[in-house]
Amino acid sequence: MRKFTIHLLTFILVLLTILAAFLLFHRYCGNFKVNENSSILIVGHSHPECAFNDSLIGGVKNYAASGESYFYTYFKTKKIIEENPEMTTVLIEFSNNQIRVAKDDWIWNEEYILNRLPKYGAYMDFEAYRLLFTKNPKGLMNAMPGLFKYSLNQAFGGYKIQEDIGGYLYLERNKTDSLVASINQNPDPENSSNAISAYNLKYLQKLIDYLTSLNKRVFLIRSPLHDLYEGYSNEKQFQELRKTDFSGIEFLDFSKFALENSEFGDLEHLNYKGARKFSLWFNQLLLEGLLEKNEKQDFINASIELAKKQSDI
Amino acid sequence: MLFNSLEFAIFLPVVFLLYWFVTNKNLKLQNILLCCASYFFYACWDWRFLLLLVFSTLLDFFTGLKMQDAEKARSKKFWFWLSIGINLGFLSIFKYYNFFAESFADAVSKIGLQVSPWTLSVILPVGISFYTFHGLSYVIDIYKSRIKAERNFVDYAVFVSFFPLLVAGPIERATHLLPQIKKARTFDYSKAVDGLRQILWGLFKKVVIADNCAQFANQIFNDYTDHSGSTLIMGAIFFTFQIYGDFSGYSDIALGTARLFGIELLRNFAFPYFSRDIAEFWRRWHISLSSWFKDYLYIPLGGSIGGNWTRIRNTFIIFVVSGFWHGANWTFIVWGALNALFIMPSIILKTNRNHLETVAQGRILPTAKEFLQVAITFSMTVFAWIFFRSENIGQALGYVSGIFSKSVFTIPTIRPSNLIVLLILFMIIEWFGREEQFAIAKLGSKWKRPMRHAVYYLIVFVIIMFSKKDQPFIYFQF
Repeated sequence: MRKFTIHLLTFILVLLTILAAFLLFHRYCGNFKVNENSSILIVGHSHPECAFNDSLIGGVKNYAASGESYFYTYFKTKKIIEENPEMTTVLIEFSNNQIRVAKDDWIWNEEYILNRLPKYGAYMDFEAYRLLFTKNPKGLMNAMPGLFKYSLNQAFGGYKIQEDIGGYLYLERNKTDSLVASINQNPDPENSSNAISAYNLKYLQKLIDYLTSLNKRVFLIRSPLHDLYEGYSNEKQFQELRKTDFSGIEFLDFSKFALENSEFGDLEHLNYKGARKFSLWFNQLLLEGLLEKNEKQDFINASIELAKKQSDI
Repeated sequence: MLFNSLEFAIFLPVVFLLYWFVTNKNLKLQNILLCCASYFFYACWDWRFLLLLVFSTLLDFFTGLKMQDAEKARSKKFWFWLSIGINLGFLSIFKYYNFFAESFADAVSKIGLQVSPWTLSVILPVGISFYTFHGLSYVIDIYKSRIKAERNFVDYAVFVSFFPLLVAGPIERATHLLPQIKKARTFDYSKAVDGLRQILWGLFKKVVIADNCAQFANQIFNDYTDHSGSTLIMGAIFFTFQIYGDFSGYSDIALGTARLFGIELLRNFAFPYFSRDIAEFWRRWHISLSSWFKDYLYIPLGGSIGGNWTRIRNTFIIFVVSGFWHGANWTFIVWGALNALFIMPSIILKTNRNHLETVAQGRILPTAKEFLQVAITFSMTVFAWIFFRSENIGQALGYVSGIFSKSVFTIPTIRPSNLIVLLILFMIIEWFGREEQFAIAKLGSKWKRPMRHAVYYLIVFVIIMFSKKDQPFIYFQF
């Protein structure tokens, strides 16, 4: 029995050591190098993921990903910036639903851990693991094999992580009309609470601090949203929080960019038609020196008005 | 709690340590531990079904005692039929009631009557077919005076609910398992290592082979009308490997786990895809079920005594019943009947016991004749699995007609090269290990430990690399 236990423990120990070595390989050799010559990085959740078609915008790389909390965005962006020093500007999505307490679930809920930890676990620090362990130890344990799987695949399988961490999402759907018709019938329960996220916003602050420490230009942005988007219900709270907690960071609000119902996938996501229209417009704004202007939001608002008039004509 | 889950990876070492370090001096305590652990394992699926399991165990335990103590044959018969009736009653209600109700409604609608069947919305309790068959064999053996009734409830409860075999077998016999439960068990290093090796191979079969084949088999079967004949053949082959990897993988984990506790379970698979005829296939596939049906149905029906007609009738009966055991669907019945048809020539010609030894025993390669026999048997099996996998007979027939079309001569549109290479490697390993209990039982047994362990590490890495999220075992639904 003793011999068996010793042999088994030795086997497991060696196995864990080898796996740890692969994890280190993943940590230090994971390739986040972006091939294109981009100086602007966009990160965030599904709103920018569907809005910014970076193939139509010069010098921009969209690495936003659906369901991604700032917690994972922080570690992802760190790695991207480390390996792509030519990226001097980072646009971080900051919209109404990201301040809600429900978004903390995007950090440790089983579904999200299983999806994100394998990709970013190798780059996370002790504090991050402690948070996940405190909030969802079972989820964390369940996600560990996935992390090892990623590490092994990166070592042997020619897996390219930069192809799996986000990017423009070509959305075909258009269910805006039906959503508008039923808007009062199925209210989103997430909007019923005004509680503010603690952990998600903490990692947004960490991300901003990290980027500013590297002298990167950081902007908070809000992608286009439908006027009837339910998430606007916390607009006052959202603006107050932005002005108090993130007052030092410029906010570029594109939420009122005029689009037809047919150009939305739903009330908060642009479909490919809307993304094309918005991205071409945004590209023009960049060419006109948006990021260098003093009154950026005024310039944006004026451009939105102009675009609206042009489409009316 | 799935065998391929984190929960089981914690549960197993805890029970193992308690078993060998805390209760090892006392057999009674060891059996109580196994009983509690098994009930906990089962309750993790759904604690309400635990009540059903306990009831079924109590029923067979007490009716067993009543039969044993009965002085009159009539009384013995009463307790026997009571147990059989209640056991089969539960099985019928949970597993077959809706099928019969809907089939009846369908049948009467054919003669113009409209009946809306009263169906039950119940979930099938995990493993009910397995533990019911445990109980049935026990009661039948007592009735036939083959064994004496067990008087210790804990020992009997462990026999019925021992967690490695509880949800998907092997279907044990009291004559085989109960004596092991009643006997003091000592730790055997080589058996425990062998058990771990078998668990590792079982996990490989389940996680790497079955789950990865499932992805493509599901894709092809779900949209079978959109695929060419050649792709449909690929789909059927993927399912053939999926079901083998899934079920034999489960059995390997069960046998290996039991071995860690000093208990030997009945072998359930013996490299069935290397069979030279269907009769041999059925001696190598789900052995514990085939032998159960042979002992408790085929032989009581007269077996092979009484000439060809009796043999043909009895063979058909056990294959159809065996198909029906798998689930309440005509597809399973047709699958059973197809196998009966396939085996019929050898029954009639009395060649069904021609291939008792392993193919190419003692040789590396088979002869051309053996190779051809194996290939033909494999093809027949693949064909039969189409019916097993299909949702209904219409789909199965559509699938088969899709295969027998011109498009069968095109290149399959779905041909995952990584998986195909993996399957070929898997079959090579299985071939070289076919004379052992499981494929890697003796793999590298003469090598030095570091070399041997390197192979085990490699298997672990492949399991991790090919793993998907917790995938349930197919046979849990039966």
